[in-house]
Amino acid sequence: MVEKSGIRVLTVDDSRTMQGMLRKALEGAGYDVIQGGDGVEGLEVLQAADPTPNAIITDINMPRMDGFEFIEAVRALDQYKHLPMIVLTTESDPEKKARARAAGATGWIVKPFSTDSLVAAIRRVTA
Amino acid sequence: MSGDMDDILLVFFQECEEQLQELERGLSALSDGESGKETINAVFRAVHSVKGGAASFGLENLVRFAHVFESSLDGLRSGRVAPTPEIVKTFLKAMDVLSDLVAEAQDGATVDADRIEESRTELQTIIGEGSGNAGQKEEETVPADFAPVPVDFEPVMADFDFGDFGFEEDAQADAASLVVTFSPHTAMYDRGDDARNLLIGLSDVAVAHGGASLVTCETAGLPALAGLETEKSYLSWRVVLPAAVPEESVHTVFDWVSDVCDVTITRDGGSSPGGEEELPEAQATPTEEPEETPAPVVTNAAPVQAPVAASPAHAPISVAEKIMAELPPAPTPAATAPIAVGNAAATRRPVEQATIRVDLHRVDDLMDLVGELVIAQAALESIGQREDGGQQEMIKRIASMKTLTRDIQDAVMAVRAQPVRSVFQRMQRVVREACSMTNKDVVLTLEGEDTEVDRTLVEKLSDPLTHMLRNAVDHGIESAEDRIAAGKPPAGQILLSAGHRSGRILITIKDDGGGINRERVLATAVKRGIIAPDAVLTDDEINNLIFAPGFSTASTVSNLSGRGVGMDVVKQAILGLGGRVTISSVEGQGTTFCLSLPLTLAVLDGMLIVAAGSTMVVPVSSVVETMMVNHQDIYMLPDGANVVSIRGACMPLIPLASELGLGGYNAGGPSEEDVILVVENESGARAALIVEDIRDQAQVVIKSIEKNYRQMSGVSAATILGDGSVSLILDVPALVANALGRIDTRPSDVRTGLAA
Repeated sequence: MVEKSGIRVLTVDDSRTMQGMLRKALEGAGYDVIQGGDGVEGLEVLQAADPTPNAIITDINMPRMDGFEFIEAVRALDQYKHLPMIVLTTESDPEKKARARAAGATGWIVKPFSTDSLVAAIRRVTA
Repeated sequence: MSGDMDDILLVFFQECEEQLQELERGLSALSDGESGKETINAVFRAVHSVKGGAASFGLENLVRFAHVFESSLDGLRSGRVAPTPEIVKTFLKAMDVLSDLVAEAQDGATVDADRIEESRTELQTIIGEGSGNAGQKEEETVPADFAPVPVDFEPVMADFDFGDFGFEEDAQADAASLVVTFSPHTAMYDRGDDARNLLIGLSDVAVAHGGASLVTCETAGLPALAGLETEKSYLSWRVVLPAAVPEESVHTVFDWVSDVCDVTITRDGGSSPGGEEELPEAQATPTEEPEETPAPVVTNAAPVQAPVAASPAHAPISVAEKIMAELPPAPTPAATAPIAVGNAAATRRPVEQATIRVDLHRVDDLMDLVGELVIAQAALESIGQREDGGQQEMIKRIASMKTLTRDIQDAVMAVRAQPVRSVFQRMQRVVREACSMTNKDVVLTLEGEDTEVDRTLVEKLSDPLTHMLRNAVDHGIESAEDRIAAGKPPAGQILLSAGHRSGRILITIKDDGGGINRERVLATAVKRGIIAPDAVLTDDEINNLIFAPGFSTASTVSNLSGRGVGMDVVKQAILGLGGRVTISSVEGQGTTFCLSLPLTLAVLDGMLIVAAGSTMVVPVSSVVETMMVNHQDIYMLPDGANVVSIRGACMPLIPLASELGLGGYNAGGPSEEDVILVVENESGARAALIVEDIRDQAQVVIKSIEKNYRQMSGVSAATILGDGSVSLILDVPALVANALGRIDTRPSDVRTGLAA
């Protein structure tokens, strides 16, 4: 049995494959995971979540509301002003990184991810 | 590889399927001239998703191709490339290759390397054009960060095994400690980050090198409490790290915050360890997407240096990612993972369709019904406890239970139902390939893709439809010259449509080709010995000859249809699904194939009748009416067969018992007690069945008789009745066809599908 960390992570990705992997990786490390299928759903899940997640991992390329818009939307809400948000994407384009930074992202992980790097990133922003 | 991963892999393949459908839909829209932003984004996203997932599973071939595909689509997305018909065609071809590569990853079928290469080259041309360097081969290799990294859920990854790097400390024992000072801007906190995170990052680096970090906080900037703005950044930190720590590791910790945090890195004493190679980033394979360079404040502070061999151990996030990406897959222990994945996929093939996605509301409906069932059961129990026995009440309750059971059955069926879309869309590709092989231009139009049928049926439709469409392109549609000569547009048209018709699904494949050349069909059939040279056949009988085993009309076997699978196999497949095929063809105008299939292979509404003393089931869908026997309406034909005239329409009279070979009962003609069942096949041909009695109407569960015994003419399946007895389900169309075969009362166009 994995020891629960009491830390909750919201993952936002339109790929069910990726969501499945994130869930396995994070739950395996003792995190509580909630998920949203795109930016719009992510916002809904975030605002309905009790307790509020301690960190968010979001994809960039998603239908309806992409990762940039999602990050901006979350940052625009006062109660999430300091909520760590990590981008998880296949891209590593500096322009996009800059955009994510400007939107308020806390970090950037390139897919495919290793469980350890992911967990290390979460640990870093939620310690 | 854990079972969990297998599950995710399954999800991945499922998702690939969906993405490919999405891609097909998008590209079809593009080829129809609809090049809206949403369409292009959807197309891009589909390929992107496949790539992302594939990368996670180390499916290298798939990733490589998807990457080039994605890059070429990016040109479309950014407007550098216009979606001309030529380019859309290239994309469609690439989609087919992508789909094959997914199949390759799934079940190990190998894809023709030349085809991949050809498509890749075409895509690269598009990329080249888009960037103004026509012909230049770009991105021959996948950028480093797209190289597959096998995901491993084992607790410790080899790359993170810190113990292996002890030698490093010795090598750099006398080097000076690394001193890092940093002061975050307020903006860094606004981004959800924290100095604490950076301290942890540095501490991790220190621990990774067998040391510890020494942290001092510089509080000089802190104002008096009254002047303190809580959200402002006032503090800075000084961290001393072990000498073994390469500066690159520190840069990595600050990489993301370099724009909102001032950092300086110095070696205490200044002597830097010798013998290092260049930093990993400088070595990375040149790519289209350059790695982000650290912000000037960092790079200027000290030259960035890192012993490469040690790098994997200095594991902060992004460096670890890059290093892992650079490692050749073979020597790493984790690299065996993709192979394992592939094998797992191959061996799991038979149960691959074991999961379905269901609309939530359908499951909710089912839940509601089950809830009602529980209430109904409770009500029944309470009646049983009543003093007076509550007979009336009991009957009422049982009746409502019956309705409920029926509703639940429908709800479960709805859960299993799936639109035919997935299969229909696959046919676009079939037609596309058939066109390129025969050098014809054919447009396939789909209709009624949302028609829902049982999932098992959807899957089984694929093969027969594929063959029929290939056939339609190959034999149905004429060459462009012939079409022009016949006054038709050069591009052929095929319509594939689906719809519900009286409890069955009707699929039609209609082409506007030359129609069946009956003279040639007849001649061929005689030549092959399928029919006697002097046989006199109706037009429909001739049409149906193409379903005869061993029949092929093409004078030369083309490389397309001549694959050893004839239309007889198609017909068998359809019959095996409880379906029928009918053909109608007008010379010069085209041919229409109609497939009529049951909505499900599981249950049917049956009328329970009695023949030769046994209870049998006639599908309600094929019963038109029932009536008493009236001897005045029955006529005997010269050959001894009977026909019955019902309101002026004559139809053959089938004494069911003798028809099924159950003795000479009924031989003397129907008795007054018998009942006539007017039955009809899909194409509307009717016959009158004489049975002894009608017992009831009930839903019966279909049990295959073929699987347990063998195929029997006139009987389609068996079922088990409420009293536990086995009962046969009659194959009405076969009975009608047999009767019509003997008695020539029918209009010539009704005998279809069953002559062969």
